Amino acid sequence: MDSTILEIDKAAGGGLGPQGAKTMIHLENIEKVYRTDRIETVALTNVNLEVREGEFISIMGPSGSGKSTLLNVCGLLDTPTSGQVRLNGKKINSFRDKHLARTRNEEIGFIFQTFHLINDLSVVDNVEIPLLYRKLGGAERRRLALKALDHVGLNSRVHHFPSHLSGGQQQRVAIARAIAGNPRILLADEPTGNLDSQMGDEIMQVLHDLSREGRTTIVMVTHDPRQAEKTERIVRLFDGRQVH
Amino acid sequence: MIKHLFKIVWNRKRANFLIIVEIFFSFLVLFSVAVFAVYYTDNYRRPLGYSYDNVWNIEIERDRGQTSVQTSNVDDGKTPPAAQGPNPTISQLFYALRGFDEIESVAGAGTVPYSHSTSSSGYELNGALVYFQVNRVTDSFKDLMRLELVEGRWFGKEDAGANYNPVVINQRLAREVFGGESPLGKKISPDTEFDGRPRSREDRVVGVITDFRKDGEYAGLGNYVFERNDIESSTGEVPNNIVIRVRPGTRAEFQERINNRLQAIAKDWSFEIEPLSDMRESFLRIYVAPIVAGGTVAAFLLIMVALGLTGVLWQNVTQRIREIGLRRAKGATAGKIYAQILGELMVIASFGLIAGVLVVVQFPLLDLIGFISKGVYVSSLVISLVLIYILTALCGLYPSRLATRIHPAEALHYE
Amino acid sequence: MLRNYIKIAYKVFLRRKFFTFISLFAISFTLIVLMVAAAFLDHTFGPLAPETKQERSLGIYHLLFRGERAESNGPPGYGFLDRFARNLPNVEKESFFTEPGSVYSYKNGEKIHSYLKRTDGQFWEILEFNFLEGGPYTPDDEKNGNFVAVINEATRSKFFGGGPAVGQTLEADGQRFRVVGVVSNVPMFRITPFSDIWVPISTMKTTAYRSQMRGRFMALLLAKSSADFAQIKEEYKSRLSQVDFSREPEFTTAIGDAETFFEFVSRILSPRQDSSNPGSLLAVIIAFMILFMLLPTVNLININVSRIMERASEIGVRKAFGASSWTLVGQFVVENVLLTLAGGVIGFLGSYLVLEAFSQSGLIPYAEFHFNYRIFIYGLALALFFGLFSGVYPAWKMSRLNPIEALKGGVR
Repeated sequence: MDSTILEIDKAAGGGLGPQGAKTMIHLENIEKVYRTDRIETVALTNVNLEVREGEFISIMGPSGSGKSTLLNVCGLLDTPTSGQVRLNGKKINSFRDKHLARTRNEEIGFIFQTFHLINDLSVVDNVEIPLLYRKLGGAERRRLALKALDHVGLNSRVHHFPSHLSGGQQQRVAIARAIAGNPRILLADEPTGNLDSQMGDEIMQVLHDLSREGRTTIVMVTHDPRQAEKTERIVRLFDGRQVH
Repeated sequence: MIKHLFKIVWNRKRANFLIIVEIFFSFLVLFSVAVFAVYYTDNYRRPLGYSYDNVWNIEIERDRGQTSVQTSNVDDGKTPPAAQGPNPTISQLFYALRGFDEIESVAGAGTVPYSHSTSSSGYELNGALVYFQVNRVTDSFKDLMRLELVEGRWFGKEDAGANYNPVVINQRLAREVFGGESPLGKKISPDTEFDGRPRSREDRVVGVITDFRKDGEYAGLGNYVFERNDIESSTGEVPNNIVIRVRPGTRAEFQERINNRLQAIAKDWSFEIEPLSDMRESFLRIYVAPIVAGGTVAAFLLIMVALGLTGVLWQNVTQRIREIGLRRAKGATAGKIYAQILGELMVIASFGLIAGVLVVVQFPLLDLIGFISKGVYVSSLVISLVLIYILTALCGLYPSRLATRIHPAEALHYE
Repeated sequence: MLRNYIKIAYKVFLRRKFFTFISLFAISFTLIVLMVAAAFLDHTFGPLAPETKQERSLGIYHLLFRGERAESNGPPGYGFLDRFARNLPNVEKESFFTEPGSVYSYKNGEKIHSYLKRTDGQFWEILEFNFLEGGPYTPDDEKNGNFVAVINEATRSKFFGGGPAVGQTLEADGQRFRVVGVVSNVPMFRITPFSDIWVPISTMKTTAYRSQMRGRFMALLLAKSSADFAQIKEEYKSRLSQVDFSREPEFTTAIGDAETFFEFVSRILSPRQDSSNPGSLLAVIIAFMILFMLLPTVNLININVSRIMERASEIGVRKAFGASSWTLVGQFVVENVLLTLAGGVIGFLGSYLVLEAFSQSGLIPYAEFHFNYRIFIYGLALALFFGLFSGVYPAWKMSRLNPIEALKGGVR
């Protein structure tokens, strides 16, 4: 692979990812510039990142350092100004909406700080959302959604509405939604940011389990060094650049 | 502060554009209804110039060849007398009607209030084109209809041998043609007939009445001329209508007796007997029905717009929780927030209204609403503007109250 | 997928009751107004009984005499029609009759007002009235001046209390007629057939009508087919040049048309009454409807945009989990169509009630507004137009929504 890949702060002794495993996320010379009428804001410059299958990494950095932008580029929600994105070995060179949507649906699950559950839908209907955009029958959708809920330990509350759940439970629902479609990659944007530390720990435990058992690749943006320490690798950003 | 409001509205112009469009159309709708409402109200307040209580009309229908042909004629609209010379039948009818105890007085008229037939005329007088309605009536018409004479006299027997046609005009016409001068004894006819021959007799003003608003309370004001119809003389003609004043309390059954008597005298004629008050009711409906229908539709439209606007503003406020929270955090009082949201709304409304006014001022310029006076136009414009401002303010009340309840902390929570 | 759309749409509607209410109100109210207007138009112009042969009927409604300084406009007289409107080419049948005129009858001291129309016998052959009792009078009745009458249902109940009327007599306008037939009421809009009492022309009080050029007559011409209209119109126009004005020297030309009813109305409404331009009437009607629809449409667009913006986060989530813009637009369209259909149902109900109220109120004599398939199709088309038009811009806006912004909740 490319020689300019910068591997920073490798967690000592954490080598769960065996050498030679498949590269799930591969960013090459990513640059992202926001242009408005007069001002040009550089969000990311020359970012290179390689995440292997089953790896659990954290992205850290101060506010405005480009963490979220990086996550959005990985999740194909944002398109880089220049550079190359590969997901699961597939080169993303078409940024057509339809194509990106399908790739997101098949490869990626998102977890947000504010959960972003749809209040108008019950827990199980929320979890079914990624499955809606696949050619699946209703019964199959329901089965997969229940399985995902079971996985996060919420099988008793499938017909509740999100507003009736605690913050930790809501985030579990969100995780169930993210894994329902069985994606290879999970992208979590400060998943514990809105939770107290106990609930946060619980959520982290769920993510670690997923990483270990399901060989799911997880990229997590976080402010919390304690949570970041537990991941296999930390990528630090400052002013849109990777730093050592 | 105002500048700040304008800036905010301008920066959110994409989001506000649809609201502006909505207010623009609402204004147009409201204005078009207001114009008619104000016009009718203004007309309604003015005196009618006659009394219709206890007056019945008997419309005569004869086979005259031109019964329902309306003659309009630019130079002189007077219908040529259909039958020259005194008509014995009409004299008999008058005599028979006067014989009834229930009838106080009888008069002949070319047309009567609340009837759909109108005879109008227009020609150049003192250098200006003057239009007016004409009505040929008998001498007793004035007292029967209780017309109000303000100057001079009504025509009567004394005019029988005169070498002029005596006419009575309304004040409006007197002012229009003669200005401040007294119109009495003045000529009010052109020098030539419509075919160019010199006119043999001039029309001379002998009196002025307040008004005679034939088309009733809601109709616009116009000029009016009464001519004398002497049914006993050789120049007399059979009137289209006979009006009678009946004693108060006369019942509708009396119509049958009148009809039978008249029908016995004039077998070839048909008679339509109807109290003026009944004619008035059905006639005014023609004015009122469209404005009621239009007003109802417009009211529903505006209610719909008001509800929609409230919804949109409500959503706008929830969308701007962060901004409003920030303002609160920086020390803006609840009142200030309230004022700001409402102020923004007023600025938005003003944009829509300015566009609306720009359209509406074209109407008089293009002469689209010529029948409407300047006063009516301006007051309906002002009424519509004020109503729209009030309406938008009402729509903004609840959402802006919501905005004042936003806690500064919410702004941070939202981040 | 569709089931899911419907499910979420239903849930969204319930949750956002206020928005749902406004949308339904706007849609149904607009539909009511437009459908009532459509019913009126259909009632005036549609091919309803007795004017079932309307598509091949022409009428002569007006006659304009014009001179250099004088003008006289009004309906033609019988004498004129007799001379100029008979035996036109390709006309199967023609009928002459008067405008309906008010007549009064007195019964037990009470006055009864009715409209009376004098017609020839062919009138009943061209127009297909629905006879409840008896039958029409014949051309022979007209020739012989028989005092016979056809009355409508309302007149029957006024004079005879609803019981059988054929064979009985009634007095109108000082004349006594024997009833030979009773027909269903005909609405007043239908000026060609409309009346309460129909009697032969020859029962007129004098025979002066036979020579009159102008009067209160009109003619109905039944063409072999509508393809012959042009030829009939042309022939009639060319005959007008033969009108003799020696007795009325102030006039020099006669202007008139054999025209369809729609052309007639468009001529009356046009500023210059002597030229008919039915296209412009249609344009005016359509322009008015569009103008009227503008405000509700803008209102709906506004509400729809607000509804979308309020759900920005949902849209962001859906996009993140793989919904393409088109899928979302589809979802929104389903929502909008559902709402419009619901509004349409309320609109249909509402228009039905309004029309019933109109029919009951007697504002327009004998107007009986019933829903027919034309109005239904018209209403459906309107609802569809609404659903599409008010949905296009919001849907476009939705598809443009940036998921990152949407998830942050800071959408402009």
